[in-house]
Amino acid sequence: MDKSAKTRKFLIATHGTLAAGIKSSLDIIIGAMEHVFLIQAYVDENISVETELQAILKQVNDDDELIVFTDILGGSITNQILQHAQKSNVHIISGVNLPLVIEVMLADAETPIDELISTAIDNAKEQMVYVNKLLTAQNDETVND
Amino acid sequence: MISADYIITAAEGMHARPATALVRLVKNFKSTVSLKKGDKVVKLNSLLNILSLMIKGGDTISIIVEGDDEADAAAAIDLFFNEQLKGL
Repeated sequence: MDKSAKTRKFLIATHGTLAAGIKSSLDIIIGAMEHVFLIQAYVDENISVETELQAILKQVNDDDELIVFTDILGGSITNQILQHAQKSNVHIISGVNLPLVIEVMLADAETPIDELISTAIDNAKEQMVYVNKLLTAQNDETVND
Repeated sequence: MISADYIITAAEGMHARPATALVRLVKNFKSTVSLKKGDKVVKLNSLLNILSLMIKGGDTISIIVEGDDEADAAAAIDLFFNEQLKGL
């Protein structure tokens, strides 16, 4: 099968409503995207993460790629996703932040998923910056030029 | 190869929404497009690449386009910087 024919789907799974908050920001910055699922765990005590996850997985074919963004490595959401969704076409990234999700969602469909995710994580990490210190360093460079 | 310089006229600089629009615009072409600010050069296939340059209003940047459809790509990018950016 042609690799580019795969559909890339996304799941943002977090404790509480962070997932919907990220989705709201995405809608503003990159516009509405297709194939984005959310799990907002523990907001409704009557719905388990497993139940929500199974409903989402039914919408992901074996030919699709599902990229899962979770909030905390070692947290209950990540652990439950690992427990119920460890398949070769499911790719789980913990420590979600907005730059990471944007980078992954805007990536070329032709880019191999392993390469895409590794690059996106590297770039997203670089977005975590103590800006005061960065500005101080830049100002020092200007003075020394 | 086509190269052009632009002064960023949008007061907010190249923030997330215009940078997203630029990445999406470049995806329409086969050419490789790079953006240069100072001595830093990044490819325009990544929003975070653009944002990492912290391009502010008034900054001058260079666009470098290289590929089979470089003339069409350069024209579209020219329109983006000269007309569309200030509305984003």
